Amino acid sequence: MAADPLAGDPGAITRLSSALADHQDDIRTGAHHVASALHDADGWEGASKDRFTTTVGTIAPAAQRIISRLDAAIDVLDTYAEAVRQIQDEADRIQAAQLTNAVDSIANAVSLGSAQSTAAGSDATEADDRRVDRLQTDADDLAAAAKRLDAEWDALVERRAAADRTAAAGLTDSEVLGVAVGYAGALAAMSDADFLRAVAGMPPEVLAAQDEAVADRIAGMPSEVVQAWWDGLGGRGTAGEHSAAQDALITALPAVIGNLNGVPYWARDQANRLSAQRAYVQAKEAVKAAKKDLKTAIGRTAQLAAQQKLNAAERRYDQLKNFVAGVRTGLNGVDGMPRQMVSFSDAQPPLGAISIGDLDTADNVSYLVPGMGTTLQDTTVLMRASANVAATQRLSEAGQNTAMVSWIGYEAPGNVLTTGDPGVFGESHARAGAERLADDLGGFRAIRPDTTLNVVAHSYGSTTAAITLHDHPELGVHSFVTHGSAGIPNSIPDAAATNADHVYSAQAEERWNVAHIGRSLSYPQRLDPTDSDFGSTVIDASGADRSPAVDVHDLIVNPDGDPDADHGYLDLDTNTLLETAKATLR
Amino acid sequence: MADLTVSWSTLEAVHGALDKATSTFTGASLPAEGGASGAEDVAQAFATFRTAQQRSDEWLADTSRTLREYAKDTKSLFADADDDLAGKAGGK
Repeated sequence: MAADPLAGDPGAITRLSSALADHQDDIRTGAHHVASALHDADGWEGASKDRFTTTVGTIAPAAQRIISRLDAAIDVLDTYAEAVRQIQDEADRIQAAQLTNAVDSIANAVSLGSAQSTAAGSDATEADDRRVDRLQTDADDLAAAAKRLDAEWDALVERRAAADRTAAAGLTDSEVLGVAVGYAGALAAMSDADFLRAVAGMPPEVLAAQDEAVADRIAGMPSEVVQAWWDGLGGRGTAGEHSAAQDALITALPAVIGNLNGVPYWARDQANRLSAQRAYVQAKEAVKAAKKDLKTAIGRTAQLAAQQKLNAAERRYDQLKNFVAGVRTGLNGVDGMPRQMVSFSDAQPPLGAISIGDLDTADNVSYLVPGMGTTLQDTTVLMRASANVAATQRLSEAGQNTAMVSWIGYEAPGNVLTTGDPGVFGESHARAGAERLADDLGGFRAIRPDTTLNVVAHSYGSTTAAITLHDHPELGVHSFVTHGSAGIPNSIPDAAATNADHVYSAQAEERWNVAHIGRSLSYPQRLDPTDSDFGSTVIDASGADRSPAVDVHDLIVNPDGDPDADHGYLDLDTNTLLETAKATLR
Repeated sequence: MADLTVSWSTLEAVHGALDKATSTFTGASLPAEGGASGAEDVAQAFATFRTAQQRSDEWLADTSRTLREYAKDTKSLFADADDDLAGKAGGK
């Protein structure tokens, strides 16, 4: 389509440019506050400061680069506004001339017609003929002028098209975008190695601006490729000491790096904290918006829909709030053990895992897989159960360097007792969850091939974990411990079929017989791992050696260790807790 | 482990400055082209630039927010450790 020399508003283009200049001021102000924070941190020294300094040091140069790119965009817009203004002025002049020419041509045509008529009359004079000649000459001159004006207009159309092309090219130039336009296309054609090298060379704010395809390609890389790439960026690194390229990747692509198998867990932790914090802030805003919508909803149908939207927003907010709290909530007996956000997925429902202990250095790592009704809203409760195991492990010499992962990495079926959801009787949630667990355990194995790996599973979590272990013997699981199992799929007929070196199982006399009901009503019918035919080592949950008996289906219901209160499988002082700790250390 | 030196007021100041930085970066808005150029290719190019710029701004805001939370967490951990030690000293 031909360019329109009169299109657009140079004043509005100039205002765009001014708004970008205002934006630069905001970036400068923000960077100034960051510089103040760095200055304020002068009195802070130690390992915690190192991590702070590394990241804070990336902001000022990034802000400066962003300001420079805005400068380039402002130049493009200012030049373009001036060009459009000149073209429009010229267009106005040409159009005015064309109008005058058209009016003159019409008047001349009328006069010429009249003069020709007079000159053709019987009483015509020489003067009439001369008038016709003069008017004909005028008509020729006007036609020539019209042609010249048309040519000038065509040239102006081309000039405007050129100005548009220059502006469009300028706004997508590498000086403005920080990376050449079409770079993602070029990246797509690269080998994995070249692609990863190119990605690692990008400044963080530019990397963050790349489209989804870049993130998707990194996320799909095999763990051994990722591991070699990461190590090539300055070694494995630690939370306190790592390269600027590694830091750029963590901050620019947190959702990818946080779940990328092959990346060390300290980096995943930092990335996931960033992603989870962002999701939490968004969830908080979603609740505010949903409350506002409910207030303004008119009519029963609209109010019902708004209420449902608010309920869903609040549910999600509660889940994310508890997950974010998991890395700092107070836990007994695990002082000095670091915590890591091992994974986080901002999905529906959100999923994630938090470790007590350092997965990059622990000698012995156990994943705790929960059962029905578990969501991220249960993170801190599950972590208290994990803390009890870790604290009990620490009582022995072999348990000084362990880690317990509270893994809420699958969508567990709803609690049938409170929601009526019959999903716990089927296997679909377990099969989907088993794949996710296999992926996470496989990711761990990829970078920690020689570490002792255990799985402790509760209720429906044992159904899920059993499928993972059966389908993936390469995971090399040392001990598989089940508590109140909702049943092992009958395609896994015995302990040996789980491929774990050791299998331990506990089944308490639970109030309401929750686990028993789960197994009895399961379809296909699932197995009780404490049956003698199954071949598991049975853990006594009835109160051995003066320990309190487990009497409810939960993992933990008695945080204060009250001997007269109910006890879950991983409550303090229970034999099931002690034996779980021992089983994972054998 | 490196020697640790920090005060509550230091972390308070760091947190406060980063809170201001986060608010500034989050509130920094970019103009929309809104038909100013009257040319489709220029409008499209501006949209590409704007998206990239917006993502870069988000990176600044996210990174500042993370550091703000880090300062806050660090502050909380010291308080927790202090409570814990006080509890232990009190024989709890």
